[in-house]
Amino acid sequence: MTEKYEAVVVGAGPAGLAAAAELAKNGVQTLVLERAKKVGAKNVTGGILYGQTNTQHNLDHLYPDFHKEAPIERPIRKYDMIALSGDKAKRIDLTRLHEHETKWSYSLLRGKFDPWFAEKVHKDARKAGGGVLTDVHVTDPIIENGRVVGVKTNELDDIRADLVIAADGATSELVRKSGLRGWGRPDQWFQGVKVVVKVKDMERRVGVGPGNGGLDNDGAALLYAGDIFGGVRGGGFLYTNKETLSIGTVFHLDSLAEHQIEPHQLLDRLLRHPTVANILGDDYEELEYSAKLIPDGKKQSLKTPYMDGLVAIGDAAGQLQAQGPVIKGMNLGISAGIMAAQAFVEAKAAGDINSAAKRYGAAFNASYLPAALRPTRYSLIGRPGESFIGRAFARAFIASSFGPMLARNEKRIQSLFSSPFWAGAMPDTDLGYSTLPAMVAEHSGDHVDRLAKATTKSLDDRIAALKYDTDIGRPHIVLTDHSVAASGAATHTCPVSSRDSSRGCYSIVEQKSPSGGPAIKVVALDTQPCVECGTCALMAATKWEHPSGGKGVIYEFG
Amino acid sequence: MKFVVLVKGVPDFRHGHVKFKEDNTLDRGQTPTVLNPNDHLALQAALESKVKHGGDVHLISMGPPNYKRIITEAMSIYGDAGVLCSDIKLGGADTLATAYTLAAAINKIGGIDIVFAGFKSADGETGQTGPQVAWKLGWPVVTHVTRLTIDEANRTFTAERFVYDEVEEVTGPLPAVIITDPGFRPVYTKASHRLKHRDLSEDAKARAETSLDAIPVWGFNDLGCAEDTVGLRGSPTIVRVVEPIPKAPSERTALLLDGTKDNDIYEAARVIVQKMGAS
Amino acid sequence: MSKGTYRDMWVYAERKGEDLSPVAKEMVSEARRLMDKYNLDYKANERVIVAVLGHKIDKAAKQALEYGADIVIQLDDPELEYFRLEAYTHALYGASIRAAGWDYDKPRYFLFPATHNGRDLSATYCAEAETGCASDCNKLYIEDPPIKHRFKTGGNELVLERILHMKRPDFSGFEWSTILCIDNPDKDFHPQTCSVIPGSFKVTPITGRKSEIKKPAVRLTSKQLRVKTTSRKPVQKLDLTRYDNIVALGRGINDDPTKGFQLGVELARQLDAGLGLSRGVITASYDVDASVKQYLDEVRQIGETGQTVKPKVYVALGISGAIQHKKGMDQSSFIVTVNKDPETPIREFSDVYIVGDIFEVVPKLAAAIEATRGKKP
Repeated sequence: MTEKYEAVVVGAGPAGLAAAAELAKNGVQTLVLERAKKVGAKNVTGGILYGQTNTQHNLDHLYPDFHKEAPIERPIRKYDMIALSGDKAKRIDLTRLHEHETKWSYSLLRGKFDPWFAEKVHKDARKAGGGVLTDVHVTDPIIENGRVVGVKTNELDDIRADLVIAADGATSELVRKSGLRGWGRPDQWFQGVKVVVKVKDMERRVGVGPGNGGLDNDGAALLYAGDIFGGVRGGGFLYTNKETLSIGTVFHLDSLAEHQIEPHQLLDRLLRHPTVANILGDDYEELEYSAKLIPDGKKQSLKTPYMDGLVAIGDAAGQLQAQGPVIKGMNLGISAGIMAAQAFVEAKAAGDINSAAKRYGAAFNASYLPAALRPTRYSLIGRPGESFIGRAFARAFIASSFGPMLARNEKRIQSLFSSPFWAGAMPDTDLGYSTLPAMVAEHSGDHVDRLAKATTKSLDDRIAALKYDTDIGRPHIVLTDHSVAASGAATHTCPVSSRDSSRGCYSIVEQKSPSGGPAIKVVALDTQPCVECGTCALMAATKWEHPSGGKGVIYEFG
Repeated sequence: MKFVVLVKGVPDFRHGHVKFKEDNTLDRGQTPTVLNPNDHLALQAALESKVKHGGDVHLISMGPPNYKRIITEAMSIYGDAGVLCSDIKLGGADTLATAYTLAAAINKIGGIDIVFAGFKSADGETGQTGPQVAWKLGWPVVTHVTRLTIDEANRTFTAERFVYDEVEEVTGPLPAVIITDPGFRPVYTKASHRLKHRDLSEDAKARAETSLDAIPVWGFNDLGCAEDTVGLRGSPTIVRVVEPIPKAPSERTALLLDGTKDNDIYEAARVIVQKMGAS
Repeated sequence: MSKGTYRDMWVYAERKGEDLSPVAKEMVSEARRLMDKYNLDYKANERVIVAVLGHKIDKAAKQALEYGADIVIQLDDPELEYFRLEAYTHALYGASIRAAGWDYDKPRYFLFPATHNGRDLSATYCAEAETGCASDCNKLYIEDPPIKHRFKTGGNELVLERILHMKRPDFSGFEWSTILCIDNPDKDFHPQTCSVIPGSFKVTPITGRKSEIKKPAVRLTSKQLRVKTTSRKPVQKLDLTRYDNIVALGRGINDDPTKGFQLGVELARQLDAGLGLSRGVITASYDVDASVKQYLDEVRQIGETGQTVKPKVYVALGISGAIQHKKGMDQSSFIVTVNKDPETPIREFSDVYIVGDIFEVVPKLAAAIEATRGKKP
């Protein structure tokens, strides 16, 4: 007897849980299937959760009192860019950008936040005969006559549904297997790595809180751009949590691959730079290393995020707003989740269940999301700016006297960097990520004296500190081509691999031929340390799937 | 359906919990008493049967009055009701006498379909009580069960058991006694079952806190056993002598041997053979 | 003191296919030694009776004669082809009581093997016989102890005769108890029964002894046959925790991985051990010969992300002892390491550390172990 639920939500991240919360609120029998052993264990964010003024579909639509109840970290009241050139730094106030269309914002840790959210959703969903289940890995959509009618999993018998909501993240198997999209190209993705650290005297060192002219418990977001990343396009961030800091780096995946500097090495450059090292001090504690692929919404958000019987929300639909320094994901997923739920409720009320997906599509198009994900100004200015001519123009500008003149004009710079217009119009070239910020720091920044050593953990130690429940004998990723040509890029782009490490996933080994011929180099894969980010799906020839329910990496902070 | 799970309290032998006297021998007095580890799986097995077939799970334990605590610990995993068999006349029992007592308790509850028990207790480690309870009930018993399915309509069970290098499938009539293997795993392939399992487990935890006082105690007179079959009097075996075995030192000092010297190799061989034969 | 008559030491001899299992040979040998001494001490002529159950088991029955049985009771029936708890219990019990033609009520002593089936059978046999059983014994002797017991001796100290002393590890290995099975004044408890740990006793083949095989009829009711086995398959999963001993290979086999595996497999076979691997071997992408390829499997990994084992003896070949590996095996009772490098982390948690090249040491060690085991007790 096949089970049936009105709605099946795949993935208990913010988008999936928001959809389920809204469905449960309307008495829809909703089943949420999460592949981790505990909700949040496979979820990573930078991260800051926003509530926006240009939509009702924020978290407080679901839980008006979440500000008091939810295990969020700190409200972000300080938002600066630190431009870097060598050991010179220039602080640029980006408050205007941060507050544009912002109702509220909080730093959070998924390992704490997601379980709270899921617990509430489970209780509400239970009332309508559904609930949240962990340890279940959804493997495929069930498609009949071009319509998605249910899901297959590793652990359960098939489940049928009136609507399947794909909220299974950037590495979503559902969207790929239903044909909505493929993995795409490296230039359509970012890769982020981060560490959660505990530092002494945090508030004073970062410059928040009552002692530093701020409010009790308030938090800061610092963004780092400049010349410290060897030309790789992207930047760093530092967010304050209640007791810890989330510090990370985010780069365009194609740029990372091209420069061949390993992601953990780039993160370490940030950690060791005097501006950050001074915050860390000599005796900070690194609690957890994590990594994630981030879809560049401008380049891959689905214009039609649905098909009959299936809707995609959040990272699974590429719904990540990447506009210059602004990277917003969670709240967009929440908005889309609420919209998807409301579309289903409307369709059900109209006696036309099959129209739910289409209704979601219409709601999506009418919402703030398309403009946030693919701003027109990016197509008109940014995209052309990435062309050969555009980049030549930028280089000429920088080389001319106009460049330094602009760089020295603090007011102009602040206005430019904190402009929501320019954030959305900016081309994805090194102009905005490194060249211009480095120039600003060079011309109007100050030397930062190094006050602390800030030794960083080796990748081996970072991997050793992670927890895994390995599915012994059943690797979830298999190389389909072991040649260095086809899969070698994974050895330096995978966040848990390194040319110097023996404990990572990908390595190049010299294989002695048993027949006595010359030794050849091949790529070897050990999936045990995998953090399931999806990088190697784009950088190597693989058959890529998630591990079975409950198996694989277990993040504590996320 | 109606299920019973037999549970027992044992010293907590876990590394870090077990206590030693100065001479490194077991200090029974100081080591806390906990629910027998193998019983956790018997409880999971009963819960699985309840999720799939409905009904009630009754917990039975035998021991001193403070073993009510063991029953509440078991109830926090799952139990709808519990009873403690406790009486001076029941004390000092070996496995046969215990089997008589537990069988009497099971018959007193009445109408039971399956009795679940764990593989062996961490203290006596005889593994006899479960099969002997079945024998006194006159019911079939299957040991080392790794998976269980019930055919309610036909009143039969099918059990997968893992013995030596083989997996066997056996079937038999209900009522029966099922002894779980340490490799037992409940299998839930329906979302609705997993949701029910979650509901029941969460309820169980909440209820267990307040259940202690509600657990009845059955004494000798309540059970109706023949006096010469239970307790010290009913026990064929006695423990004559107990020699404590000191725990191995946590740090080892390696005996260094030279692999190129034949004498050293023989020394290594001698000690390997000796250690292999040791208990 | 007993109200009834009890004689002879019975042994349930477990089979491994057509043959007696190794533990059965050990137990018959030990029964012979115990009863030879018993007959001497008590000027008696009681016997060693060995029960073998199954179907078409002439070979196993004959083997029992070679280790000292006086009489072999061969219970041969199609329903007994494979072990079935209820059927075996009823058949065995029925064949061991006066009604089967013996001149005594029940056996005086009964030994079972402490294997999965043997332990179960000892429990149900004793439930049927209403007697006591000491499980997992590794030492047995018959003596006349002075006993003071509230019920058994009315609180007085009495010297009781011909009591089987059954010693066993107790309380998760923290105590060694001596168990006795003794009559009450108003109730007999016989046979004095125990299950015996494999490997506890030496096997001593005996020739030229007068002995016989009897094949009494087996009659079982349908109730006694109500539990049926519907299928039987060899197990897929490799569980290293089911082995008493482990041989593990590490990257020390680098220079010749195929040879390394061959040596490891051989040694494991010799020690009846499971073969484990360090993670380093699994991730090294070794190209090994087809004959040992099956052993290069992630399921054999011992360590933090693999299996955790606590064998009696752990032999680590070419393993350096990284913390992830240590966590999977440092609770082993006895750790023997062979390593070229005299200074490795594993030395800190080894009981014996042989400095040498595994390719040279292992063959020599294997030969030395063979020689040592062949020696007389």
